[in-house]
Amino acid sequence: MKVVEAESLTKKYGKIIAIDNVSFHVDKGEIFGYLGPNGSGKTTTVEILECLRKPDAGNAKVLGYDLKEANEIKKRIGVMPQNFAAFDLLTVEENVALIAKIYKKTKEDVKRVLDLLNLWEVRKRKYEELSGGTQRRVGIAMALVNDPEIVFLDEPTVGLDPEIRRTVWQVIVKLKEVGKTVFLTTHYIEEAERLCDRVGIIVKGKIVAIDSPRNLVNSLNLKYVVRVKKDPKVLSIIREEAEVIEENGYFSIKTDNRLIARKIAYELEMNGFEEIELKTPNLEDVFLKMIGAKITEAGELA
Amino acid sequence: MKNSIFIGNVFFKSWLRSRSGLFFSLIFPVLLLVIFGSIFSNPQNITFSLYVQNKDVGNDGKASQLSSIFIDSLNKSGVFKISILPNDVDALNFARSQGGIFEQRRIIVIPKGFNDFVINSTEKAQLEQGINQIQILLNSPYLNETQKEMLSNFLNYMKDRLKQIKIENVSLEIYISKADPAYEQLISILNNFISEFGSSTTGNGVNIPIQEKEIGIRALSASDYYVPSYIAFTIMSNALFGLTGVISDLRRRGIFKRVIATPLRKYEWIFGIFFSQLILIFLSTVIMVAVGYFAFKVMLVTNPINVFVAIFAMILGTLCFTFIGVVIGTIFKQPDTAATLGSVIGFPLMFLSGVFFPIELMPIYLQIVAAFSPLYYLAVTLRESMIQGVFILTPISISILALLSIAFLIASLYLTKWTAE
Repeated sequence: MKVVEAESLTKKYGKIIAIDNVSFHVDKGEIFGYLGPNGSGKTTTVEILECLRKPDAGNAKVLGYDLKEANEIKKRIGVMPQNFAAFDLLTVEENVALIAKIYKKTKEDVKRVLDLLNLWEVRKRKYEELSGGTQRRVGIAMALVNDPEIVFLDEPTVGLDPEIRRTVWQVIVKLKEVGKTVFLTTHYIEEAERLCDRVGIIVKGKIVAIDSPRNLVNSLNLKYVVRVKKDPKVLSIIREEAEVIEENGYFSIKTDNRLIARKIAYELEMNGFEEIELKTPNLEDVFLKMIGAKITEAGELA
Repeated sequence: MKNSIFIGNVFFKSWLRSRSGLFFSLIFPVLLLVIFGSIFSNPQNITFSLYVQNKDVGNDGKASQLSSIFIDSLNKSGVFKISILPNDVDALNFARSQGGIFEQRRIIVIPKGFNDFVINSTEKAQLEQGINQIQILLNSPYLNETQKEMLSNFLNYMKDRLKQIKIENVSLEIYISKADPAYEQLISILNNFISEFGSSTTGNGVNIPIQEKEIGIRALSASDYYVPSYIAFTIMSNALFGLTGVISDLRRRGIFKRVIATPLRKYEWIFGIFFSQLILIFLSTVIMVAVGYFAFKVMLVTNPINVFVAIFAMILGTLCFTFIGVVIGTIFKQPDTAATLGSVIGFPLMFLSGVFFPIELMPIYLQIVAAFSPLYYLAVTLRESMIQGVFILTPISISILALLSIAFLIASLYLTKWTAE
């Protein structure tokens, strides 16, 4: 069942085209990743789906409702905006209760969501006193308190250090486990690859690919790479069919077959070679191959 | 030293780029200078409204000579804007019936016999002076007996004349309320004027007595006057100095975006802000009234109608200024800019609305500005309902506040974009 269906969405800011003829769908119960660098149109798309912006062209349905039925959509979705912040001087519980009140939810609903996100212990602490990761969890709690059918998380881990980012990932996985559909925007490729059932890659306002991370990798015939220090003996050890390239004092041995790659790495190790690196093709390679650039930690193309 | 210069440069740049910093460091002092300069450095431009009732008239209804000169002098002084109060009107009742309009509650009554009092006092003063001089001359060794005898006869004549002069004690009556914001200035100016009149008209230092009459239904102090003023000021300052930056900050930090992603309606958001302001106002009012009562013995009018009107005015004032605050906070995305604009509007209103200074102390062009200030109408209504107990300007003030509230409500609803645009 499709919970989001976007058809040819286009949005312009003056002469700048933020998103250009974007179409995709999100299935019920999946984590859909919307991956792209800064300024690629991720937030514009998600804000259109949240009924916070109107598209210049195209249309979308969220949970079966047309975008014109904004109030019906807003009643049924959970939202955590980009650069989320809450009322600094209110406690965790008060901030969540504020949103609960708007949705006419009860104290029990607040408790349920605080429990779910392990926030019950810190419910009396002011928002400003919390760590970055806990603040994001509060944001997710506020997005969940109305028991939405789909949760939009716009860059929920941006600016967090890797360790805290992982705690937020655990929460997102938990959302899927309790049956929520998650629409996740991110510029972290690793995040999309680890969490998402399907990923839409958006660059300069256009979707360049949509599929599961594994299918995206497979579709491009990306190679497994065994990397080892340059040594003439290496060439004699490799018996399998593989492409060997010399790069900066290293041999990169590339093959399409994961088992062959593993075997080569094993044989090299048995012959006394150290620092052997076996690299499995991933979403980052997909992005590099499709776009010709990487996304930096700050979200820029490089 | 280089580091200090570098640090100084950094702070200066930050200050230069802070709109509120610029406002309070550069524009605000100039604003104060202009306002206070206008108020205090051009006293010749200040005119006080004053009623004059002349009871010193003959049977033919014609005013006595000196009372006419006195009124003419008041007119020509340029300090007073004189209106004549007919003789058949009771001055005290008239003053009391004018309620909140202080300008119409200032009356000077020239008593019956004023002309005779001044003439007789002048003659008496001249005779007393002459008697003293002759007594000194009689002791002089340079006069012969004939001369001394002549002087003695003249002295006796003068003493007889002095005995014949009967002065009926009269005094100029000044009806004024101590709650009148111009009370101190006006009494001081009138005292000087009457003293000068006594000296210059008679050529002698005739002291014309003045009797001050409190016309307040209750005796009011400065504290009584300022309690409603401070409440009005708080209503304005909460909205213009505080709320503007808060709303802008909610937008900048994305909290506003989180709220509009819910089914909450725009009007619910705006009225929610209003309710928070209203709670704040009622709390601060309770505190101010309590402090005023216990520390300064401030007594407010407590009859139910007055209390109702005061609360109604507070609600209207809070509505009006909250919506102004919402408009400013909505237009400007930077909290600093929004707060600065709130200050740019709020500070002039603070000084030009009769909250701390009577508006008649200001030049006429500033008085015209006050007529456009919602704070002026709020302060007037609170003053009338809380301390004066009469409603003269209240109906029109309430109407203006209500109209302004509706206008700014429409503006805030129109300008608050319920989208992420």
